[in-house]
Amino acid sequence: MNTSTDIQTQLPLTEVTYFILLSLAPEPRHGYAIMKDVERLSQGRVFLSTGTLYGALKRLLELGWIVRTQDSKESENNRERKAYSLTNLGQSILQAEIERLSSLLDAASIKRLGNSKVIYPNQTNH
Amino acid sequence: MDIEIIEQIYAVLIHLYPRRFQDEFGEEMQHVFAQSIKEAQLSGWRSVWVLIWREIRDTPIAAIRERWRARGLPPYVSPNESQPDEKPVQQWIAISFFIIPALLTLVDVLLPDGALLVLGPLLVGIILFSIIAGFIKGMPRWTLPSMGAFAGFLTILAYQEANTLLQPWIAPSYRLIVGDESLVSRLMWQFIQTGEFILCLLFLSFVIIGALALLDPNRSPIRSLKEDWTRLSFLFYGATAIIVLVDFDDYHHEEWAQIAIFIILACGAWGYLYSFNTFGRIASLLSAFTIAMGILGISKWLLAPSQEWWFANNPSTTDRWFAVLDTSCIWFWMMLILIGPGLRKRKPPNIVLNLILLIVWIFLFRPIFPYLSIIFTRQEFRLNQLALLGVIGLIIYQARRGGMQARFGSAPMLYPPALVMLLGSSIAFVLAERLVDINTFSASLFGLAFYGLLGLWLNPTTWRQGLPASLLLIATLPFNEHLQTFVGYPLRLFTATLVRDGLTAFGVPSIGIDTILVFENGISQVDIPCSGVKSLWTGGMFLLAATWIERRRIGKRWGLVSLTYAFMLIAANLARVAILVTVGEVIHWRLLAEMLHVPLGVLGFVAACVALVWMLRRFVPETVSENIEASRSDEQSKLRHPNWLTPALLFSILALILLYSPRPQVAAAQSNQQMIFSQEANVEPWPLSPGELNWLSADGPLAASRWRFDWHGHRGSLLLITSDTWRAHHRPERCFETYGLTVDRSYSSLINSDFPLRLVSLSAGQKRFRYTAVYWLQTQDRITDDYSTRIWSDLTPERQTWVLVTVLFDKAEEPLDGDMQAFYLELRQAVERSLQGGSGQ
Repeated sequence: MNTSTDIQTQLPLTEVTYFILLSLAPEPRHGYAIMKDVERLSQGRVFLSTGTLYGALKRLLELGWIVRTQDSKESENNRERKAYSLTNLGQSILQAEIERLSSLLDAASIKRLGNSKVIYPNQTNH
Repeated sequence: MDIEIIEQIYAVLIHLYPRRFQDEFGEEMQHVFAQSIKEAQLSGWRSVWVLIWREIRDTPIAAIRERWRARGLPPYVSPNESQPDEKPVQQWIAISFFIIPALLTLVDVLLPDGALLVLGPLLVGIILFSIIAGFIKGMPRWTLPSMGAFAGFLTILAYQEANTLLQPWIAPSYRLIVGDESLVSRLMWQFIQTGEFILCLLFLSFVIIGALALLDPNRSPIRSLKEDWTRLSFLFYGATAIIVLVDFDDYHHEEWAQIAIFIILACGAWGYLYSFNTFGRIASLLSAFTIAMGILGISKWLLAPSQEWWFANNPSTTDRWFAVLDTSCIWFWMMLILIGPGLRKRKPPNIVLNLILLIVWIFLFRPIFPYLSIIFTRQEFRLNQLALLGVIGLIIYQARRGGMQARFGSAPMLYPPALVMLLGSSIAFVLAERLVDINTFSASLFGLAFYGLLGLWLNPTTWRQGLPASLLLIATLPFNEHLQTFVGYPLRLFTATLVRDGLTAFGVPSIGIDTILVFENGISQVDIPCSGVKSLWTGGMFLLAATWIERRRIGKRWGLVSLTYAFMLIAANLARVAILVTVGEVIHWRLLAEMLHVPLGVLGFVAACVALVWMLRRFVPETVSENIEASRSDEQSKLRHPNWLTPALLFSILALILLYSPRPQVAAAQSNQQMIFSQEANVEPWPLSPGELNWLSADGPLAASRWRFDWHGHRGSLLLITSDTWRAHHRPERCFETYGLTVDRSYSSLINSDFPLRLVSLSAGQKRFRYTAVYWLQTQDRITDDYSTRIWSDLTPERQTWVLVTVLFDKAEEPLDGDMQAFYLELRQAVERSLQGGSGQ
């Protein structure tokens, strides 16, 4: 499923999936870090409960978009923690989704420029 | 709320997810949740509750989603789980042990008797085949229900034999425990008996297993049990079939309920056989057994009134409830033995053990709850209710400020002061209920025991700091009556003596103690506040509150400050009485004395309280220091959490429950309405109004009646209150004051050497109307006019029935006139006859 056509069939991503992949893009993270990062990336709009988070992680593991690794940092009680990182496929899908969203944003920008002419008719002479 | 408890609840919630999901992510999820909770706690409890709400809302949805996704996957077996090792036929033999009785009952209802000839032998065949196979093959799982039924059958035979043999010992125990035939007492007896039956079942089951193990050279029954201890639960589960049949034995038209119960039990057996793990197996058995017992209880409730034996025994609603609730005894004991084997290798969570301990403890103190509900709902205790609300508000405020530091998720701590308080108060409660039976005292012990119990989980420093708060909470109980009786009168006498001596020393003409007492009472018209007891009591509450709010250490200095404060309160009261007597009796400015009465009292009290706060701040060190957190954790870490503590506490409290026995009551005398007076007295009944009767009945007298009399032209009313508890006997002076009369004088007198009575001079309408009253308290063999004597008599092991005789003449009379004395003697004899007649029958 590495062809760009296959990737396109996976899009659009749900908001939760998108934010989780985005959170894992820079570096591998453990569950709690993902949860906090998603909250930060969404500017406090998306709060993941543990059930939602791990339900999503399970599916991403099954799809092969992420893999489980050992967290290099130890937790406060010296317990081994599992971390999650993006696979090449996951990176490609994230990249494709970002591009899709960018194109949507571009379209919205063009539309907004068009609207501005309507809103401000006195500016059409410029 | 304790964070550990929240985490443990979350760990339980994880079981909602499919096993595969639990194994893969369960531990991580718990870890993430714990971290989230800790971080939320830093932002305050509101954040914690938001987080908990989010998890409670999302977990069931996520769990259902995961279960839906897992439905098409092949069965999952955890690394530490085992797959069923029986063949399907064997599994169906085990399940059919429950299905065939259901079918038998169904056939019995729908088809002619002949059809039973097919299914009956089939069931017997399955049972026999399973038992034989169980004996030969070392108790494989599919034989266990039949073997359990066999053990159950043997238990019933053995239990009946044992009951017959032990009857001489059982009968006295029955009389001791079920003396009052109340629902709770009967249930307790049923609880004990069911426990004995279950012990018998356990014993016989182990005998069977032991015998099989001895016969089998490979010891396969023991080996298979060691592999999976839930087999023992499945064995006991088989006995439930016999228990249901026996419990339903007396009932007719129970067929449909019986069919439902056996189908449910069959479902439980199916769930057990097809579960891969201990949790699933035990959960199947428990849930099926609980539903089955629920059906049994409800159907007994519905069917009981339609049974022939029901009408023959003239039953009451209590009997109907008993028929239902005795099922809960079976449920409780069976649940214990069904769960037990599943917990063999794992200790039950501390929270569960703590909860059991709390429930058992609450059960011990159950007799006090009706009293507490009265105190905190009835209108006449409004002041106590307001005080309670105030103290609770204060506790919440302080708890939020200082933190509770409670760890209810952990095992109880071995903290000797708390332990002594818990056990000491619990033992004292059992003794008090037997010997004293003063509800306020029992309720105080309940409060103390509760705080002791709390101390097993609270941080010791926090516990010590909160001690004044707990005492404050107890102080909101209505102690006034007792204080007035035991402390109030002596204190008033003491105050009056000191005032008299003080005034004499200052050259003021000598005024008698009685004059001071009557004057003081006349000024206020209310007895209690003037004794100084109320100011001492309120002052005591203020002292506790101030100590707690100011966080002062309770020690020698605190004790000295408290003594000084008590001295100041007494001195303020002394000064007040002295000023009132000087102004009213010496200078004869009575109006000014009346005006000064309340302001002087308030002024003295406030001055003493201000001085107390100053002394506390100046002389008593604070308990909170900068390194308090360090000392807290240091002290807590030194305390042990021994494994034996919870079982030992449970055992002790259960022993107290068994030992608990309320005070026996002497049979009530005949009703006052049946009293026989001499014709000379011209006594006629004068019924009490519903409101009066309601008021007089509030504290549980045996009888209350009112009469009109005309003794040689001396007319008046007579009130008789018969009671075997002092609580129903109120001091008549208080009743007169309630009716708007002023007590001008109250004094004792002797009619003869064994007949004291109290004479009361009353007035109304600014002394324009004057009355005379006489009262005494009487049993079969003694008479007193002293209210304290009446109360102390309740401390004897057996209650006596007392009659409070109150005579109120229509006008002022010469109460010790010879003719009057004859009237009192006549009344005394009438009451005596009434008491002897009642007790002699």
